[in-house]
Amino acid sequence: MKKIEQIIKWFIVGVSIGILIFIGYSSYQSSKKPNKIVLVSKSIQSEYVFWETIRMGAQLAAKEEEIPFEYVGPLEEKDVDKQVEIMNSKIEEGADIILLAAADKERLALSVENAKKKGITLVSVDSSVVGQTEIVATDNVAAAQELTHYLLESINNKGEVIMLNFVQGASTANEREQGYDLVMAGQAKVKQLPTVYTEGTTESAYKKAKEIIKQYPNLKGIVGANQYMTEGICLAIEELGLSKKIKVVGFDSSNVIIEALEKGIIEAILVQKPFNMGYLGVKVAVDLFDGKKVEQDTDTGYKLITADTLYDTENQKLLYPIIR
Amino acid sequence: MKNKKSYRLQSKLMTYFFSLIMIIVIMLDIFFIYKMSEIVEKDTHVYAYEIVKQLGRNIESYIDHMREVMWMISSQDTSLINQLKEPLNQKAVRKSYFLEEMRNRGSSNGVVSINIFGENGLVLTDSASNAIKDYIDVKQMEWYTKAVEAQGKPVISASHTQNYLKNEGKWVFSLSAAIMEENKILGIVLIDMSYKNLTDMCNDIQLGEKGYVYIVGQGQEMIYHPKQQLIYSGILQEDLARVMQQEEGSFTEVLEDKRLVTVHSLKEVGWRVVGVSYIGELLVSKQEIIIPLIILTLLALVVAFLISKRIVSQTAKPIRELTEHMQEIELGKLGVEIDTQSDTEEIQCLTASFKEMVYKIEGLIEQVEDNQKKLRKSELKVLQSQINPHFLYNSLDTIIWLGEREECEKVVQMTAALARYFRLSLSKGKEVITIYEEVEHVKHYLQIQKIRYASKLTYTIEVSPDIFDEMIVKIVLQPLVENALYHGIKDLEEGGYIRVLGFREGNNIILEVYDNGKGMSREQIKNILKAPSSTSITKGGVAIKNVHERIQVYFGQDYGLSYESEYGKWTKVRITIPVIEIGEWNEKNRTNY
Repeated sequence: MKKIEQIIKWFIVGVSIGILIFIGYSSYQSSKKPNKIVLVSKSIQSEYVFWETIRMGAQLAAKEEEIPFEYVGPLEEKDVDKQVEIMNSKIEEGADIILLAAADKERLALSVENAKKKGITLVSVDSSVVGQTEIVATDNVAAAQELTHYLLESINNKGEVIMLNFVQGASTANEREQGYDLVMAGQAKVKQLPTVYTEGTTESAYKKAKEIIKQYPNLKGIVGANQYMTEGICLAIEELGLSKKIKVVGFDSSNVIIEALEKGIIEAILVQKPFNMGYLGVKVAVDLFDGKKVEQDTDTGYKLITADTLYDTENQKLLYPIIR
Repeated sequence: MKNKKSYRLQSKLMTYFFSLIMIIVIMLDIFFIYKMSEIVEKDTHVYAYEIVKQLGRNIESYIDHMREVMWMISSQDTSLINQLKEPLNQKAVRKSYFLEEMRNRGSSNGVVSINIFGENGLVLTDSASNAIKDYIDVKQMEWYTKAVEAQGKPVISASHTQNYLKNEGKWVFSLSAAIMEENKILGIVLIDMSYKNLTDMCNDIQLGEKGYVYIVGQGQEMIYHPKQQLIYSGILQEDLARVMQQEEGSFTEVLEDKRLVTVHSLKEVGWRVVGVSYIGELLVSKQEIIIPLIILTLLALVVAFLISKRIVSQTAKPIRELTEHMQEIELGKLGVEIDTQSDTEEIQCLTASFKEMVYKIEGLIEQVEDNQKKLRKSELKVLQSQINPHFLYNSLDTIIWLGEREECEKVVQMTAALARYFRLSLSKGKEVITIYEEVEHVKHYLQIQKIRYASKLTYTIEVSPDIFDEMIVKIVLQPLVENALYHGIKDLEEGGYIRVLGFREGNNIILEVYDNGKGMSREQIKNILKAPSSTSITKGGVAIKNVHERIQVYFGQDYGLSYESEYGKWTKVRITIPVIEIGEWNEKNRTNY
């Protein structure tokens, strides 16, 4: 009978181990999901299509991952203090994953440090921040290089070129200028005029652009470092009737810019892919949370759009990401 | 060792039995899960196809409204045609109340705007607030070129923004048709339909948590896709080639997950509505069934284990009992009651056969015993008859010799002793006699021999009277005494002395015959009780051996003769027999064979 007792014993032991493994496995399965994903935006006003599109992308990815999604941020991009405050409250709440589009590279560093201490999975989107390595954003350097190359081609690689930039804590301005500088440095016949900085609004850019055009009568090309710079330049060129005489390229899009493109005032624009930023931001963050290896920099891509390619559905999607 | 073997049968049966059940149960489970996923998948096919078809109908009816409006415009109003025929020097935009009315009528069905672009440069709009971009060429637009190509037939163009209007980024899809007069195009009617309504329709479709619907045009262009941006960026891909092949119905594809792709073609429009369901997701919902299934399986296995244990023990137990009985019988306990109970036919058969076999063996043993006994008896008879004549001749010789010497008294004495001696020898055919009788017997023998040998022989008989009533095989002392006489002292010049002793020693009775004759060598002592194979064995030796054998046959191997001797000086032979009742003797005699 000993043998049979042994069989019974082993059988019971085996069954119990099986059940334990099963329970353990299923609880492991359920415990490994993050509680939620928070996207801390620079601005949550739905009129700001760029941020809204990031949200859409992030939300879709969160839905795919079956993780609750939260979208927070200040109303105005300039309101860095508010963003810090919101960021801190989300860290306090103990969100498992935070995607941060830092409004200021330095001023959010402390919050980032705190989040890391609490073991929160943090990923930067769009803009980098001190102390955070994983970032999902446009490769602004490369984008600026491509845009500059296009400008130089359209002026046959000779003449005076200037960039209109904005000064902010955000890293994008520096990176775009860096890319622009890289291309300009290797040019023999192109004269790089010193980059002009504005306050950042369309109004200030418009004024600066007019000043520059007056100051440099031989100016052949202008680069606008963001939407407001580009808009200001377009307005100035149109007003002065210098369309086609001074070639313009610029970052980002808006109705003003698209019209300028249709009218031939501007040669090309470079648009980012905010939808991808949101989407890939979530994917990278989830991979990071799961302990998978991720690239430090995830390029979300960009697109150079000219008047010829303006009406391609793909580009239309980038220009008008929100279906109304 | 043997016990272990029997359990091994049980555990072996158990192992086979249980493994068999386990394999069957698990196979059934696998089959069930497989079948269930098949059914679920099939259900999903049907469900997804129904959903996609329903969506297709909605889209078609949505587009039908647009066609209706188009039909009303192109067939009813002649004033429009007249306006388009007007020669104009420059571009002009006019508001048309008819178009406004048409739009208002259709707005509940998703009509966003209606415009007519005349070949003469006139643009008729449904609203004064529509700011037509004068710096773009609408003739380059897809909806324009397609309408020109279609020569009056309405055509649908893929989703786009209303890029002919200032400050609008509104997404629409359009129905456009050329207004013809005598094969000449007067203008193009453009009806823009809300694209949002279409996307809402698609978004409302539920194909599980992650499933979605998309619409693809004839040229593989995406009419609608919830992840359109990802497709453009190459992050996501759809197998459009496959979708184009599959006009109706569904197929499964494995990208990152296993997906079910269901296609429904809208023939009128030329679009394909494609539903994507995630099969992995369905399997997750199946967990609700799989967990109870696993629990049930475990329960079933436990029950199966207990039942198989019972069945196995019921089968193995009788066999084990039988084995135990066999072992007992091996040990010689033939009378064991075989009481193995079983309702199994084979085991009943086995038990019956075994019983039968044991009975037969018992019978055979009895028979062998009987035969042996008979054999022994006849042997004894022969032995006894061997003894008698030998002595008789000698005695008769002595009597003759006495008679010749006319020693009448001695003749009488001798004849009387001889007569008594033979009476006791026969002892009415009994094989066992009392010690008293045996002693009497040897006494008569010695008397006879004393007459023969006179002074050459002296003897004493000292037997304790308390053993007189004990039983002994007859004629054992006489051959010993005879041996002592003939081989011990007969050849001594000075004559010899024989002493017969009898006494009790513990549970045994000892009878001793002592002579001071020539004694025996070690060699002789060693051989005297052995089989008469050696040449040195004398007649007397045969007799001694017979005595020894007879005692052993009757009383067992522990009893018999033993010799002590000093060569040239003396010999002592000792008979050891047990104290035995006559009844006990009979039984012992029987079982010993």
